[in-house]
Amino acid sequence: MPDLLTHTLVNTVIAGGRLPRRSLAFFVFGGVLPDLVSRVPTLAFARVVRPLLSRWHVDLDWLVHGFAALHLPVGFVPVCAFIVACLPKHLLGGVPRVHAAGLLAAGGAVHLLADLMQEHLRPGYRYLFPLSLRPLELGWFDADLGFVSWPLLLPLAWWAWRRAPQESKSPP
Amino acid sequence: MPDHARAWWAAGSGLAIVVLIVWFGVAMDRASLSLADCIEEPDRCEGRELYIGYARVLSVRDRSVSLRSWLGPVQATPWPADSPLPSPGLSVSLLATHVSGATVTPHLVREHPYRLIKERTGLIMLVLWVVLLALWVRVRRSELPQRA
Repeated sequence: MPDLLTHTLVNTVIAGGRLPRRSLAFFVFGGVLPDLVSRVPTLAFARVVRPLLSRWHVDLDWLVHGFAALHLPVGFVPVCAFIVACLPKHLLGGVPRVHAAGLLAAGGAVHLLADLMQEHLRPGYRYLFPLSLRPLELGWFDADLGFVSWPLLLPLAWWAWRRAPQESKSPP
Repeated sequence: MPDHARAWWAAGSGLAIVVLIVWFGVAMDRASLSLADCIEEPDRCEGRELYIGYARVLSVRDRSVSLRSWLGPVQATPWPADSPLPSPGLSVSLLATHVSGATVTPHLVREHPYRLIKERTGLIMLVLWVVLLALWVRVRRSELPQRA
């Protein structure tokens, strides 16, 4: 995965000032969500819970693998639906619920597409699940080199954010 | 969207998430071979290739490298002659053959010299997103009409 800053910037730039700011916030948040819902629990389980439970020989490797399902198209869609269904109305900021779910999913799709373009020693993204467990990767750039795009993306993202239309005050 | 429809969406998608985590986790656990499997059942690993991703280099002695992966400590020996020895603290990924216990013979290695930048940026961005979400909740709550 490129780092979270790169994903944030890419999604802001792609919106290019076309989305109103609150919708843009959902779209950009969708762009970091695949990592937040998969990598964060994976790291927590692998580095904290697994070592703690290893003395009782509890096998949690499958669970460490399992959270990666939320970084796949088939797993990310229900995550968007779940989050938007659980959000109280006032936290949607006037964005219609279905629209918010669509923006999160579209932001996540940009994330997954960016991840598809990178290259690892062994490809790891199994985007075709449940049809296949075959890993897919285009191998266009090194997964660790997202930071070289920051000098270009930062000013573009600033421009896109400034250009984004601001909503009139919505009812809570 | 009516409240009962929201409740159904939340329950349905929540259930789908749990099912997918278990399904994918079990499928991956069966399909892939890990160092932990090789330590438990060495016969399963004979002549097979292991992938150890983003392990931290602990120490280097001769052409033997001690690593810490998320599955625990790993001894990579001998380090491939065509690859320079890594410095302690660096992250590396390996394709290797299992020897015994937690010892492997790497045949393809890759250094990740910029891994620390990625990890630190990730942590800063994580904190930043949590702060932004907390601010969003606070602002939206403050805009709710006050109850009498």
